[in-house]
Amino acid sequence: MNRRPPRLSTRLLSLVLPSSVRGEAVLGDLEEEFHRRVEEKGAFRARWWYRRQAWRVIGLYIRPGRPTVDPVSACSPAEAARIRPLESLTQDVSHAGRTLVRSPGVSALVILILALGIGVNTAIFGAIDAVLLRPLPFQHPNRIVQIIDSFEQVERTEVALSFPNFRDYERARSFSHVAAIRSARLFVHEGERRIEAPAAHISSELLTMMGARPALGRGFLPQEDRFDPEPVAVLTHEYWQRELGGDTAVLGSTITATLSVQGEGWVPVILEVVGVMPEGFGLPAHQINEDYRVWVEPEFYLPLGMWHWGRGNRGMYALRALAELAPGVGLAQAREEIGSIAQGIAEQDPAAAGLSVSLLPLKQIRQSRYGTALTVLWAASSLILLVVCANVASLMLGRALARERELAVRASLGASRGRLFRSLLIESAILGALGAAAGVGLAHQGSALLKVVSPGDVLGLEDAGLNLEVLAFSVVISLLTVLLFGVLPAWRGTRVDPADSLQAGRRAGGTGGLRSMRWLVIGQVAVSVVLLAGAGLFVRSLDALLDVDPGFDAESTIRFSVDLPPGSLSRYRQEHREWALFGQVRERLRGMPGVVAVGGGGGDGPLSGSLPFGDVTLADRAPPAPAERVSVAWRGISPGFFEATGTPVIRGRSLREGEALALARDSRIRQPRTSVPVLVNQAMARHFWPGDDPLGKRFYYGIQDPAVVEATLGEVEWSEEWDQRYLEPVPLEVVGVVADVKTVGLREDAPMAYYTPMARVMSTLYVRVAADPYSMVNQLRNEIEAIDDEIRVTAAEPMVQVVREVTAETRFRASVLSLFAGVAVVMTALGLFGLLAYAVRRRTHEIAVRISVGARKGQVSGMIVLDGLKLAVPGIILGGLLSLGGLGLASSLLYGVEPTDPVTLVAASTLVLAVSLAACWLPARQTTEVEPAEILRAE
Amino acid sequence: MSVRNADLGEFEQLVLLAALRLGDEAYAPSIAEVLEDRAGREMSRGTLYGALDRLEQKGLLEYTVEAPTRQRGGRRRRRFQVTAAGQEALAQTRAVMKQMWEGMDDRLAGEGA
Repeated sequence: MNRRPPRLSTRLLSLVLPSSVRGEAVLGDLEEEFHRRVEEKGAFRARWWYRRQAWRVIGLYIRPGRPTVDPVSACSPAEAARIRPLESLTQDVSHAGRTLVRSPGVSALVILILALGIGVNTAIFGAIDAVLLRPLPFQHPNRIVQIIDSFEQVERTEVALSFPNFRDYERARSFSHVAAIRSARLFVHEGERRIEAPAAHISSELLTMMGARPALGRGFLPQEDRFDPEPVAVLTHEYWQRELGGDTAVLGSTITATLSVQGEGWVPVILEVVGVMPEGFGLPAHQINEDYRVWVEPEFYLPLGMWHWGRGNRGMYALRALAELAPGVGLAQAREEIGSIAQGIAEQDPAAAGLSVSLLPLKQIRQSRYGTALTVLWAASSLILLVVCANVASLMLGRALARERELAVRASLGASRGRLFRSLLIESAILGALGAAAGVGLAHQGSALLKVVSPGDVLGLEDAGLNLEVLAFSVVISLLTVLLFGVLPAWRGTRVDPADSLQAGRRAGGTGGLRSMRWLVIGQVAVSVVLLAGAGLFVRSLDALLDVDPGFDAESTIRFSVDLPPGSLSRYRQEHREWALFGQVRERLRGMPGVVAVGGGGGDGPLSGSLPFGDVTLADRAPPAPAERVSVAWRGISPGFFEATGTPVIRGRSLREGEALALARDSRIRQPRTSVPVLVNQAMARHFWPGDDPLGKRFYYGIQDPAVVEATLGEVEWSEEWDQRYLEPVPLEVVGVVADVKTVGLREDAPMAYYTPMARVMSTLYVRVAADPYSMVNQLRNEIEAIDDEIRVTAAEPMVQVVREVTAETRFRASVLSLFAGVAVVMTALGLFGLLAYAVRRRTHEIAVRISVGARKGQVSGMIVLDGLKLAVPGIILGGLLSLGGLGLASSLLYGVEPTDPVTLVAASTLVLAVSLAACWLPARQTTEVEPAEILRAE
Repeated sequence: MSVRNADLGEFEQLVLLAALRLGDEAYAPSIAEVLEDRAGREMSRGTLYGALDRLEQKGLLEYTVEAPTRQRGGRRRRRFQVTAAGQEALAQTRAVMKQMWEGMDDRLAGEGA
């Protein structure tokens, strides 16, 4: 039976207790009592008693401010030599703590600066982790590729795929799975109300590829990919919980809805719910090459087979397609097989002439979409961390030098250099730990802030936040930081010769410490220049972007998105009288005070983000060869559109009132027509009729044979559906040329476009006002909705707002970088100021002597400023060189400015120089306050 | 040597009294035993050693070091003695207390003690 006291408790006790007789006696007392208790109450209870009491005694001795005598002073030299390492460590820690508390200002400043550096880096790393490092939501993320049709000869890249092509690629042996996604519009019936629910058609293999299984029920079956299956739906967990109360009897129940089936209009469907996805499931829209600006996360998944329109059309790029490479198949091999399939398609089908196909690994898509932006942010935040380290190192070094005497005293009393080094490093570590803790807190706020201020999907930050990896990262950078800012001061600070220091007092002292600080300051100046130049480039990009002429009047135009109920639910739609309703809206708004013009268009107007699509054939030329085909955007507009958007008509005329109306009325009548008046933009005029007058020229929508079109003119029978009519060969005659309007963004060139009259346009209204657009938005919105119950305004925004949104990315980078640069410059100024102020203090004696032997105060101040410039100028030159080498990294994010832009670089350097001079000036002024007589007397 | 009463906490008084009572046997375990008997429950050795350290610092208690024994794992032990200052402090405290209690017994009795 074990009759010894518990070993662990004894070990801990002996670590904590003083090693003098005091501690020994306590241990002895406890052991003595333990043995007595074993006799009286048995070993088990005695051991418990011992542990309990041991902890209480430990508690007494580790509590700060315990009333015992300092163990070191209490023990004899022989005992001191036996002091256990851990004990001396706790001593060092508490000593360091006391030292830090003694100068709370500097400590707080250091912690604040560290928190800033670590916080910024942790937040940015959180973003990088969420966006670039986390595995993609697929079972074999590294084997997933997106299949994209492209037409290499004409540099036209589609992000999508046509259904027949999808079917052909599906057969490739290189793929183990192939899946397709297609967005859908669905209105769920709820009594009399029709509520839009975001929906998407997905093919049966998508969930398998994503390694996702429905939480309830099933996913889609292979036969449901085939045309016209039984209407079924899989719901998201969120929809199920929110709208259906999480009812488990949902499987097999039905939901009545109206589905937009292009070509057939709105059709009622009764969907049987067959599955519910697990919580948090979503389609990988942000990972694939999708236009995420218009993406709405679907809540209803419908089988691919329920998607009707364009299934037979190879020119209809409607699907986003993903494939999983079969095990052992390389990307090159898959590309080869798919390429030969595409070649086969192109040979068979003239409509697909020039088709080639590309396979893009999802990782690559993600990298190219977010990689550069995040790398720039990461580089900038790393630079900030360097400045932070340098700055804190200077502060700590300054402190170590100021404590030279104290360190010398400790050294002369027998403390080894290692011990002093350790105790200084412990101070740094404590500051580092506190800074890191504050930094992680800051990062938590910071990543929330990043999510708020980062516009749309700039960083893909949805999932960013703190997790284990991010915390591990911040621990690692904190350790590195402590090493960087702690080791140098500790090393320099402990290089004291006690005798020397104690005798010479403050006056002489090592200049070595100062020299190290000089290098730190030069480094900070250099980094400041780099960050400032980088910020300058982004600010100039933003400026250049805002200077771009968008081709419309952003200042005084308001955009309204309007909607009518789907299909048969709308009186106006049923009676084909949308044009009449629209005419009424225009009349009403035009009569309002402050309204200058009102026009309508489709959803593809100014800065709508829409890409051009479709071909044209010139009437007097043969259909374009595949290599000559280009994408031209077609836009249906009402009269007043150009006036309302403020788009200048450069040649010819605008649309006349009544032209569209005439067309709309004509749609009810069978009437032959010779041509439709259209306006083309300058880009289109330049491309098709270079050096020629485009007015009066004719062309057709799509690839047509002009001879056939002209021969059948007058026999064209107009069908009910307006949309399809444009697919038929109607000659379009140019009556005017308008300015190029930016649609995708301000950076991108305006696509070639032509505008045709259309009366039924109700999806977007443009209103140009003479007053502040923000002040009129609500009034106009109410006016529109008051016209008829059916009209609903789904969005209303002044175009100024839209311009802000499309420039948000650039604005975001410019502001983040400016913030970083500002922080760096302030810290550098502090560092420079601190160093010079310290140098002046150290040289008080020398300065006093100089003044007393006749130097003017101005000369002495000048000497100090010169000292500062000796640091600032090399730093600026170094920073300039680094900028020239390093800022090329950001070149793809810039607009209208080169990464090596000399103006920006000079401006950044000048600013840093000015700040440096300011930082020199204060210490230089101090010298004028030196009273030589007093100082020399005091010596 | 004058000692202010405020310097002697109630627990410290008890420790001093126990040490005084124990005389030559005033080792920490025996002091603990006396106090535990009085309180009827286990006493924290942390509290005890804290009080002993404090009293020693105030000069009210001192110790002599005695030879190690096997029962103590070969460790030395301290025998405590109440110093003259300690005895004076106890006496003063008692005097103050007595003064304060003067005529109070009746009032407490009124509460039905």
